[in-house]
Amino acid sequence: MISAKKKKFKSAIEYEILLLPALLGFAIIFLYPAVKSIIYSFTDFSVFNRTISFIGLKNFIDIFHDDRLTAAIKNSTLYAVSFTVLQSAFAIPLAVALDSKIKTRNILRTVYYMPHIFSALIIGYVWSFNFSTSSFGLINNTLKDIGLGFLAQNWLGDPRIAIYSCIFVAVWQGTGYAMMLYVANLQSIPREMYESAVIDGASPFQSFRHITFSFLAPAMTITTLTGMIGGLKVYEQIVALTNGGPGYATETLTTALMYRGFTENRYGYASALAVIMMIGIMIISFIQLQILSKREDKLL
Amino acid sequence: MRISHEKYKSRDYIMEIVLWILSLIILIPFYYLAVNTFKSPAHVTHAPMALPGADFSFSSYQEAWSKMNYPRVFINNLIYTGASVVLNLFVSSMAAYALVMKRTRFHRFIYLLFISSIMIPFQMLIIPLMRMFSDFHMMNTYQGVILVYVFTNISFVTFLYYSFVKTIPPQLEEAARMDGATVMQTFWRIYFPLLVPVTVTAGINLVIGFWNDFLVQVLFISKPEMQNITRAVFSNVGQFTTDWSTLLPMFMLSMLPLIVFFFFMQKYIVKGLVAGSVKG
Repeated sequence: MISAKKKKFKSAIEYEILLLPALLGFAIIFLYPAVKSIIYSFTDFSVFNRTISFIGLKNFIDIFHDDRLTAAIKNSTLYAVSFTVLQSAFAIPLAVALDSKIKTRNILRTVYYMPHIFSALIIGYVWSFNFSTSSFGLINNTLKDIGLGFLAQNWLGDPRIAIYSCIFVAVWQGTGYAMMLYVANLQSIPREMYESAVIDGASPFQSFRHITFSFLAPAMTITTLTGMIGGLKVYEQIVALTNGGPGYATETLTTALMYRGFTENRYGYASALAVIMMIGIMIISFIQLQILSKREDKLL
Repeated sequence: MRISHEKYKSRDYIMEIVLWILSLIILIPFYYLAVNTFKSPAHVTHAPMALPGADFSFSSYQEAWSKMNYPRVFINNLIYTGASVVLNLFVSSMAAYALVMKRTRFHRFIYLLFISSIMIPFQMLIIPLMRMFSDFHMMNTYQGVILVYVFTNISFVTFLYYSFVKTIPPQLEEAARMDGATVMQTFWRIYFPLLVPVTVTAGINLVIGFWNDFLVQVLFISKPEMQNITRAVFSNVGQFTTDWSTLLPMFMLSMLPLIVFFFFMQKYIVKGLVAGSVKG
């Protein structure tokens, strides 16, 4: 009897030992710094202030009077929303086309997906070469060759269009990934749905809207959620393309955070920006999950 | 019936041609990058789209190879990625198993904590982590970067394992324990081998993520001999901003290992995308 009890105690301990490394590492490397950031955000902690004092919400108020940071909030929102919408807008038709009986569909899928596996920094550099206004700039050269030379632009140097050039590169790199998710989702739609729609006299557009589009809800949930979060967090691609410039035209939340935090060493202030970023991501995820899971529920 | 069949076929052909034309948007930039790495700088400037002619050479690769100290940064990448992926998979799978088997309030709380932390961006950790790492002399160390990789990605992988372990009938565990196996033995000998699909999916995603990482590297690694490939390319761009003839081969050299990895793992990558996203 005693040995049975002892055995049970021993096994209870063993479960905790399995959990311990994850818990310990998570607490030290994740939880503690996250809580610390929240605390920093209410202080004037910087490399110049050796004595840290609490200043309430001052950092949060200052952020909204800081040109660099308001530009960052605006740009990141524009970037995230445009990227998410365009990514699915291109990926869904592409997925439908590549779900058909085309012979080379596997090679085509690979080609479209390929850019996604590379570092966003490297892809950013490749595109800054393509966008170049020098004699070797791929985009301007191509425009001239096809007689559209008047459309040639200073793609990354013109503050009015630089952010759109960045969004273009993100869509170029991310559409294939979304397409793969949609292709996988399409394969789960029962064929009989389309057959009975044809019998009922539905047009191809109607069956796309009512069958394909609604059945794609699960893939759309994951694509738009990762798109929004990834868009708000964008960093290396911007570093490679514009480094936030010209002026603040492509400044994003993370480039601004790195600037205030490590170029200027204003730790408390930069932490406040991180907190705003986290709150933004949480609110957006929550709203999106609410809306999208309602769409998924309709399916059942 | 025959007519409609033929009509369908020709529509397929048109679709295929359209899709190949569209794919040029992806292919041309890669062609453009590759073709200009074998040409002389003057040729790049004058005829960037042209194939290399008499000036075909690997000399810009040789220069890029030595400037970014490729063998060294490649080995660094292997160390960072290899160690982090293996550790992460072990730690996450163990935790997920314990969290499924033990359903006390404490364990449910831990599970919820892990899940909700997926929404906390890494940017929240940057400043305190930098402070911590400089206090504990962890800047410019392998272990520092590896710890960050492992534990900033643990909740997501634990979540993947958790969902999978839950689908295994609990009788399996009970039977193993009846036969006298300890918890550890049950996990390592019976459960861990069953978790291979998740291990492969999560492993591939982690490999690509860690291999390409830049942000953690730029924060914690400044010494050239400790940098990974992406970080080394960044340092070189800073130094030779407009010397594209050296930079383009660097981009190629950084992409090459991923192309090889993709080539061998393609089947699993596609499967993983399906398993990870659409549960049906």
